[in-house]
Amino acid sequence: MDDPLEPWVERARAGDPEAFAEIVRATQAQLYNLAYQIVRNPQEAEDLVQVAYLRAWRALPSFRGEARLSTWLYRITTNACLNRRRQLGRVTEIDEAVLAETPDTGPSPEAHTMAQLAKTELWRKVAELPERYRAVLTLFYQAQLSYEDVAATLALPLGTVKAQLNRARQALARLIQGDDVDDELS
Amino acid sequence: MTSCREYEEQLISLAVLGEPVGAEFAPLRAHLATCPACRAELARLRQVEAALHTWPLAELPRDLVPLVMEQLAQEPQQLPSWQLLPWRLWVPALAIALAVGLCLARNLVGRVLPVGTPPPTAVLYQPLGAEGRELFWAIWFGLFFTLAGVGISVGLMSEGEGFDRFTSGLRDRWEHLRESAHL
Repeated sequence: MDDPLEPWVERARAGDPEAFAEIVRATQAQLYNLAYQIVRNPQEAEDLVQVAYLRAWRALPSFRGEARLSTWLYRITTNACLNRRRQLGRVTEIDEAVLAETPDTGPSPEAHTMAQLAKTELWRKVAELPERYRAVLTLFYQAQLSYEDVAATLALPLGTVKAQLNRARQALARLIQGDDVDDELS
Repeated sequence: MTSCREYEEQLISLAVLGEPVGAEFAPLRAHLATCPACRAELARLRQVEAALHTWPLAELPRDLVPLVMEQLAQEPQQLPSWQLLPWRLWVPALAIALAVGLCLARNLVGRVLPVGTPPPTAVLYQPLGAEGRELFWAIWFGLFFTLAGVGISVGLMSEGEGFDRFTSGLRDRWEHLRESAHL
């Protein structure tokens, strides 16, 4: 398996903090994004990513290298985020303030084409899905993991991952139409 | 008549994969030709797919490396959880434990089966006498303990700067094990 982090992994496993810093540098954007998409709060996402890295550092000696290191880090981050949500109680409702935090990709709405506006709107709609669907979508589309790697990351059967992705796609299509999807995904 | 719901899965596949040409999609294509609702759903699913493929990452508010490294600096030394001692120490230590175990077992067997008891079946060798056996075991244990002692000494020397480092290493390992247990 060709892992770009491979040169750093062995050194980090041996306790080299500089090698681990390189791993953090290479993966922080993706891990922060994953945490943010799940918890939808920038400060909480930042805290959770730090927690995830700390756990990864402690558990690194037991990392067997059967999966890519990044996949393993996604798993630790997802678990940290979902555990935090469980501790806080299930929070799936999204308020306007949180939606407003969704990053804008262009200078002004006027500069967008209609298609781009529709895309931006859809990215915001993702925030209305329950967190497990957001996690699956993030891992598949943004982290560009395969179905198998998403299943391994979330410790779910492959069929469940495919079904959740399909349900999320359908739900987003309904949301574009202006339909309510709460019953469908609960 | 086939309902639209039966085509839901294939509709998603069509939107995700582009234009599948398999024969299994022929009924769906025929259905789409006559169903405006499914055509609209397909258009929406394609829109979703296109948007998700260009979904940008949330912007990282700041570089997390210094924050993570600061926390790491407060962590006890990272060591493999299974490794209580380095191999240079645990191999000779295991040898000593084995030697002691053999010694105890030997004494135990000696009591259960008194020395001099003839073997139950015919043997093709001449067994040692009682004195010869004692001498054999004495040499065996002496060799064992000497080699284990040499191994431990070499291990301690190659560990680094003497006994302090050795004890501090043990302490770190103990802390690490306690930390792992908490996780």
